Amino acid sequence: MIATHDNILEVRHLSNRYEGRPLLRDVGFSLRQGEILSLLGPSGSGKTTLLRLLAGLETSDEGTVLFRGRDIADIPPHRRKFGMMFQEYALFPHMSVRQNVAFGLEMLHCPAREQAERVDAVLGMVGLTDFGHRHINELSGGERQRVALARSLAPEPELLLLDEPLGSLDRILRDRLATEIRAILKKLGVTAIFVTHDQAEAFSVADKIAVLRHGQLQQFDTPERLYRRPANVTVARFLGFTNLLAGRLDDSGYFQAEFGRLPVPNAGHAKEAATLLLRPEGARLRVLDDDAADNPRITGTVIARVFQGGTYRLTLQCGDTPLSFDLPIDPPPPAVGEPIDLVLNPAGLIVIDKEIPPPG
Amino acid sequence: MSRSRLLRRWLLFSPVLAFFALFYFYPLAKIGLLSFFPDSTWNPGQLHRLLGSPVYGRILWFTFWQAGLSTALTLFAALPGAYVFARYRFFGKDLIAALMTVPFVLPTVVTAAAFRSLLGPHGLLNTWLVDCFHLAAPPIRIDQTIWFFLLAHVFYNYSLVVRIVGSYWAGLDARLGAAATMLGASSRQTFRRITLPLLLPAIGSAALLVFIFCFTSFGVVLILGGPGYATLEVEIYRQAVQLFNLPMAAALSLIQIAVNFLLMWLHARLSRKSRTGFIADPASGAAGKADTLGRKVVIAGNILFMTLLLATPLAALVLQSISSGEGLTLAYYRALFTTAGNSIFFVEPIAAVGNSVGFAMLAMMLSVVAVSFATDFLAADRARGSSFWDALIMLPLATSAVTLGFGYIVALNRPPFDLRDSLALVPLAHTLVAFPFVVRCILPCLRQIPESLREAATLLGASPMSVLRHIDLAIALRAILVGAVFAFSISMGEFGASSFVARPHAPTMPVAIFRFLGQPGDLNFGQAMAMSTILMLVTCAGFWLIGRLDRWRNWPVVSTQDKKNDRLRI
Repeated sequence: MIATHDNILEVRHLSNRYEGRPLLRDVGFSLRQGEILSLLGPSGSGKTTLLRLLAGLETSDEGTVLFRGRDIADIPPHRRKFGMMFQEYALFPHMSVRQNVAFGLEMLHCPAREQAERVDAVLGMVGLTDFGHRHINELSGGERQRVALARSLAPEPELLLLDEPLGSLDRILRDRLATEIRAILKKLGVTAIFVTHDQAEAFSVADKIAVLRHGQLQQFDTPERLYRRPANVTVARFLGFTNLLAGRLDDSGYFQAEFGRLPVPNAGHAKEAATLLLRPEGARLRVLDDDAADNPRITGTVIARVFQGGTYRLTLQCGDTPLSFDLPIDPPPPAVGEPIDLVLNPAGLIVIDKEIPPPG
Repeated sequence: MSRSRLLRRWLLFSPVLAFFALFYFYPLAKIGLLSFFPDSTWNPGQLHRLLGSPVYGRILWFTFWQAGLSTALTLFAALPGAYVFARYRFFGKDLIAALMTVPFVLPTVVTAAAFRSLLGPHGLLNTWLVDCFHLAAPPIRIDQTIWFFLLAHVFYNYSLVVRIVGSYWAGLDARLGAAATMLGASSRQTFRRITLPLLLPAIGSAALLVFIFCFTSFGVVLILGGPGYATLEVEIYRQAVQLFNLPMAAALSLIQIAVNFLLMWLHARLSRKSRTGFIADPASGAAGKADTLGRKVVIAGNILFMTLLLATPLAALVLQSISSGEGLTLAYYRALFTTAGNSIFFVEPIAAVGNSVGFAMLAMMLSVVAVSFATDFLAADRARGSSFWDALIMLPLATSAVTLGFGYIVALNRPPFDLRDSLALVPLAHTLVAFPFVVRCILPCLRQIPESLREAATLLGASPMSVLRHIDLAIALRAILVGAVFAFSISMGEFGASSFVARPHAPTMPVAIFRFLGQPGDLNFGQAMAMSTILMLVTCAGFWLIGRLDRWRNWPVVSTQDKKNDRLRI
């Protein structure tokens, strides 16, 4: 791989083990100035380890991390000028909000006046203008989160690392703060990497997403591409897709499943063992004299119908496999036990790789 | 709450209150009376003279001074140990942790005996040095000096500081340090600006506790310091037992009580403060392996120091008990079974073991019964003024055993409470000393039981008695057992009160050891070592049992943190 100058961060073949157990295996990706990357994965996938490796709080066993083209292995964490926002924030309990935010500036020996201005500025940015003299114990969860963000932003880090920054907040607050964090980071043009296990959060904040599982990088892509084309079954499952059919792809562009075959456009070469993903929103009820007659169709019996507000989640039995689709509430889909005939959107059918087996 | 339930609680609680009134407040009040009315007339002049006298000013000053110095030395020795324990994993950590509980539970008399067996004129080290270098006199002359008991104080309190500060340190959220690092702080800056300020409450609390223990130190000062040194406690003992100057002893006790209460109050305030919420779950402060040579040296140095400080006196004690000039022998143990040629006992010394076990069983039963009576009252309605009663029954913790013992001999010596010649005084005193510890074992467990469990049992058809049996007792059984063993072990090692109230013909083991140590001659010394070894084994076995009980099954967790931090004052 050749270092290109637009890439601010390059991670190459990074591996790490803890007491013989591999935590990261050959992870590599790169990031451009100002991009926000989300490390997405279930707990134990190695995402926090990767973040701490980048921060310098852990050391890697193999691989290199280049920052602005320079290997940073020998730079101790406090000299890297990376900021980090911790899970549950790690705010200093014996200091006020202001002292917390000023700490990083003090470490830079920033003159007092400049410090004060900068602290006011970041506190204003996170909407805590009058909170400077509050004690940490007096803050709510959302306020603590803002203080932590302000503290990590105050010294103007070259790379901001966020470890599950919204993990301990409730759903509504999370959604609001996720959007706010993105707005602030984009306004400042900060390059950032944040760890999360919540795909909705990753989609709403990140420019790029790296999906990790069992310490392996499964896919590195933009949120949209990730959703449209999950690289393998692991990623697809993690994104919440359940309609996964095992089968084979023949050379005439048909996917052979156990209950029949479906045409898949642009699927590429024939594959003996492949998986077909049917996206849940890619189906509609077939009506008489349907114009899209050549679109793939699927028929079966409705076994469950759950009203979800804007849509029905309809599960049909089709051979041995239950498949679920989100259908509009009009026209009302058939009731449980009745036959159903669906037209599939060809773009909603994706042939993906099989699951990558866990190491060891 | 129903009226009958309230009545039941008070009915159960009142015997405990009566017990406290008679065997705690009455003796203390008597001390007060004795110091103000020495001859049954109002004569505060005695107290005046005392406070004005330079001798007693010196004693008070010396007591403060030696406690301060002991505290400083202990902190100096123990803080690196706390760091090592909090931050690193190393080979043998569990073993050393187990070894560190030994000083907690060692009776003071045994500690004194152990140090004399190591560093005394006939101690192991001196004998060895004399033999090796053919010296005319023992080169280490530390016996009967202040350094001897200061060393014993460090031995006693080292593990206390390591435990309090170490566990607090390990519990500090490691991410705070990482956060400071990420904000550009070097490891020194991180320590100075983050770690140290956060540790200060724990260090302060530990230091104050060490100060209190050293301020009220009795056994080791009396034995190791010799006649040249007197803390308040020792002086009370001398005035009362050797000089029979009861008013003077009473006046000194009064000062002791006042200072003690003040210190305990301070400690209660400080430890409440230090518990404010920045202790994360233990997992976040995970200890790691040492990675650099410097750190390995620090760890190895600390382990060596701990082993030397904690293990050598005990090893010397055991060794001295089984060896004479000619080699290994069980003669000292055998001598414990004979009365011949022994003028300091009316009975064979081994009877002391029987006495101690008997007293300890009695004290154990009494304290568990008393606590059971009290907990029903205390565990209920915490909201309304129960903290007052909590504080009241914890008062014996703030009273030195010497004061208590002295109070007994001045208060319970005439009708209607003429117990002076009765053997009952010993288990009664021990019950009071053990009471706060037993409360701390049992009460938190009972308070943890949610009321909904009892309500659920009631709605499933359980009568109040079966609720008590199937819910409260079933859940608290382990805590009650722990409390019982605790009381037993405390009673076995108690010396301060026993030195006043034990009858000459029925000595307890610590009293017997003290008498042996006060007599010249190899046989007496050897018997002191032998009996100390037995006592050490008994108390260690007791606390080993507590440790086992604590881990016994997956029963609702009783918080053991509190009681481990109280060192026994025995």
